[in-house]
Order: sequence, then structure tokens, then C-alpha cells
Amino acid sequence: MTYIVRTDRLTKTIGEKNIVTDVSMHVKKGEIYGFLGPNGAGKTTVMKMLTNLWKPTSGSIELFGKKLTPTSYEVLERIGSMIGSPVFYEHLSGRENLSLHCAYMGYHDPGRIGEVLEMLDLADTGKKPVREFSLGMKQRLGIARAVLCKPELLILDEPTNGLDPAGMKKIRELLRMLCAEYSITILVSSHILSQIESIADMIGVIDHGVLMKEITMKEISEMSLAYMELDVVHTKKAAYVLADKLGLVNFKIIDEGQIRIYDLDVSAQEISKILAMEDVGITGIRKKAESLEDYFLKMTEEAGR
Amino acid sequence: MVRLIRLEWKKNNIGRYIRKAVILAVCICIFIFSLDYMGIANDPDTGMPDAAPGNEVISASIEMFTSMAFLVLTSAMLSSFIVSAYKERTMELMFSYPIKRQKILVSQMLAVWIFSFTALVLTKLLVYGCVLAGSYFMPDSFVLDFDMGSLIFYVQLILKAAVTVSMGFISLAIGLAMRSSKATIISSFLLILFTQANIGDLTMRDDSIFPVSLVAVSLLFAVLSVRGVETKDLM
Repeated sequence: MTYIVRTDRLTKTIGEKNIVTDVSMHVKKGEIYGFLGPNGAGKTTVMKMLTNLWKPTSGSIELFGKKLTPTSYEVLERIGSMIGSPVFYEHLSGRENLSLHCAYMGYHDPGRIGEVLEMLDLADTGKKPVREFSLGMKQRLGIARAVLCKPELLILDEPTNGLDPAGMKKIRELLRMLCAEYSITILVSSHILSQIESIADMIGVIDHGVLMKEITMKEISEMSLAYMELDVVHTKKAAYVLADKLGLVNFKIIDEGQIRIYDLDVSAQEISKILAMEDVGITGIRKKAESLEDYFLKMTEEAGR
Repeated sequence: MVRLIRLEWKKNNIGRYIRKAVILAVCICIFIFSLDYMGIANDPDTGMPDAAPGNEVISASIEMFTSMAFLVLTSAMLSSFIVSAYKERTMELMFSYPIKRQKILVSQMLAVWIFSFTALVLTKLLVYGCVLAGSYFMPDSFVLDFDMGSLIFYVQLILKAAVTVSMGFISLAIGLAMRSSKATIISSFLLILFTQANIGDLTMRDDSIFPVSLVAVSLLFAVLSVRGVETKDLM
């Protein structure tokens, strides 16, 4: 398996504080890796270390199979990135900013700038200096700059910040297209799962600087997140019946009078029949599905404890 | 390197600085000309120039005013090319390019140095030229103590200009250490006081070792600004 990004126990300490601790992440070639975590979890710090803006306190980074050192300049040619809110030369137009970027990257393709401006709906900005751009426009120009020189690895930190829903959808489509057509490997962070779940192949969950889990979207979709919720009068008695008479183990008392059954081999009909026979009053029974959001929230909450 | 310097000029809108330098040169020229031929420095009682000791010759005034003006301009440029780039995070962008970071910083410093040096030399030539031309038509209040026909005059002019502009690196290092554009410019004012002004008879500008040590200190500060940039975190 070829990994484009691989980190080994990556740690960053600033002062006394561990910002990122022992992160070992694996991004495969040609996949979209969703980097998920609440604000301040360390996503941006990891990305800054990947692009050599910050140096790791300990641990190592491998990009394209080569170890990243403070003097790895050539590798930057193959990376397009947008980390934090993008910055520009504000007195210059969008096109001039992009053309400067090409000059510094050593990239020559006269038609490419128009192409990306078109791709991100910025073609009509003309000579307007960037300082007059709206937040969303700057964000799109930042993405345009990141994809401009056809990088092999694209690192985007919260790319949909400040965009309207239509804009967000457009960016998601763009990322999927770049990945499918140009087989660009994409590392994209977000604090909202719904932003990346539809496009990511792999999700890495980070919280308090620790990488909790790396999981493929396929595994997630195969995971059973459905359950049955039961409203009962006598919780303890109901739990006893479920365990004793039905032989269920995978259930949880959520609240007084509320039980969740994760074992879905037994039908609702059967459960209500047995409970009625044992004289446990049922006031409600329904099937429910846990959202992915809940799943990740649970994972980060458990870690916080 | 040449390509990087050109990009710096383009990016920082060098046309704006050319306009500023021209205005500065013309103002200094008019001022010095008035000093020497319109009698604005003359004591109204005696009709003689009221100059501080050592300033009876016109070249002292020319050197002082051109150096002062262009040292401040150099610092202002260094602050907007480099200190602001750190503050406004465009340096983050620059450091994401496949170019050695020391090279980026050196190109930015050179972009300012070359521009300011050229502007200062041209300004001095303009002012000396105007004063010399005036002397053919009008009586002068100050002693014209320079000879535009000799080679030494030009060598001295160029060397002095180089020292002055290089001193900007001292204020750059101070500005970078304090992460402040204001500190960059204010420290250049302090440098002027230190090197150009006189307190009574006490002045440091005539010492011959002084300019040499100044250049050494400037270069040291320039190195300090560049050192460790590859391994430091960009905050």
C-alpha cells in the first residue's frame, strides 16, 4: 500500500502544553481523508507540521515515502494547501495573486489561471483587488490557489468555512472530481462530520490532540447503528425480563423508564408480547438509528472523561 | 535570485515607492537649495548662516538630510516588505513555496537595499548638482566643499550611501524581534539621532572607524534576521 502521508507518533509541544500527542496517521494514495475533530483538537497544528510551517517536537512525518526535514523544499512543489483562513496580497486582484503563486511555484501554464477561476466562480472578479472580496470569495480564491498548480497532495483546512450551503456543495463536488479525475490525494479537515462524510474514503478522528481512530467510510456504513427504544413503567423489571426471558445482552438503560436495545435479532412484536406477559407496562416502542454525528460525539466524549 | 527580487518589487507595488522617493528627492533638493541661496538659515541680525559647528560646509547638510530621509524610507520599506509580511501571515504563504527560506528573506532584504541605495545615490547627485549649478548664478551662504570633477567625490558618495542604507537592517532586526512595524521605523529615527546629530560639539559622524563598525553591526543584524528561519516555527 502506498501512503502519501504517514506520521509516526507525531507530537507538538508548545511551552508546557501538548497540542498534538502521538498522532500516527495514514493517508493512502488517491483517497480523500477526512480529518475530523472539534475546534482546537489539533487539526491545524498537524497540517502546519505536514507543510513544514511548524516543526514537530518529536515523531516523524513521511510525505510521498520520504522523510520530511526542515530543508525539504522540493516536496512542497507537489503539495497544494490552504491552512487557516487564506491570506493574499490584498491590493492585487485575484488573477494577479494566482499568477504570483505560479511564479513562485515554478509552474507555467498560461490557461490554467482562467480555468481555476472559472471552476470556483471567480471569473467575473476582473481587476477587483482582493481586499474588496467577501469572506466566501476569499475562501474560494484560497481553494483556487491550492489546486492551481495541479498538486499531487491537497491539504485543506476547513475549506467550507464562510461558504453558503450551495458553495459548500460545490466545493465537495470539486474535491470529489479532483480525486476521481486527477487522482489527487486529499486531506481535508472539518469539525462538522456532515461536511465530509459524503466525500471521504477514510475518516481520522482527533480530539485533544490525540488521534482517536482511523476508520474507513465503508466500515462505518457497515456498522450497525440502529437500535430500538423502549418506554416502560418499571425499568428494572423490564431489564430483568429482557435479560432473563429473551436472553438479550446488548441493551442499555438510558434513563428512568427508557431502554435502548441494540440487539435487533428480536422483533418489536416479540418484545412487547413477552413484556406484556410479564406484566411490565410498555408506553412506547420504536426503531431508531443513531446518527454518525452521535457516534463520533460519543467517541470524543468518552475520551474526554 | 534576480527573479525573486523582481517578484518582490512587483508584489509590493514598487511604483508607489518610486513616486515617494522622487517627491523626497525634490523636497530635499529645494530645501538645500534654499538653505544655500535663499538664506533661510541665515541669522536675521548678522545675515550669516546660523550653523552648528561642523555644519558650515554645505556637504554636511546635504549628507545629513539625504541620509536621514532615506534611512527612514529604507526602514519603512523593510517593515512593509518583511515585518508586515510576518504579521499579515503572507510569510506563511511564501514559506509554502519550494524555495529555501533564507533565500526568500535575503531576496526581500536585497529588493529594499538595491532600491534605496539607487534612490539615495541619485538623490545625492541631484542635490549636489543643483547646488553646484546654483553657484554659477548666485552667491552662496555655505562653503561649497565638494568637487564633482573628482573620482573620490563619487567613491565617497557611494560608500556613504551604502552605509546609510545598510543601517536599515539594524532597525529591521529590532522590528522583527518586536514584531512591530512601528518599532522598525522608530528605531530608524533613533539611529539617525545616534549617528547624524550632534550635542554641542559632541558628534559621532566624523569618526572614521564609526562607519566601518556600523556596517559590521548592520550586517550582523541582517544575519540575525535570517538565521534559524529554516528550523523555527512560523508563528
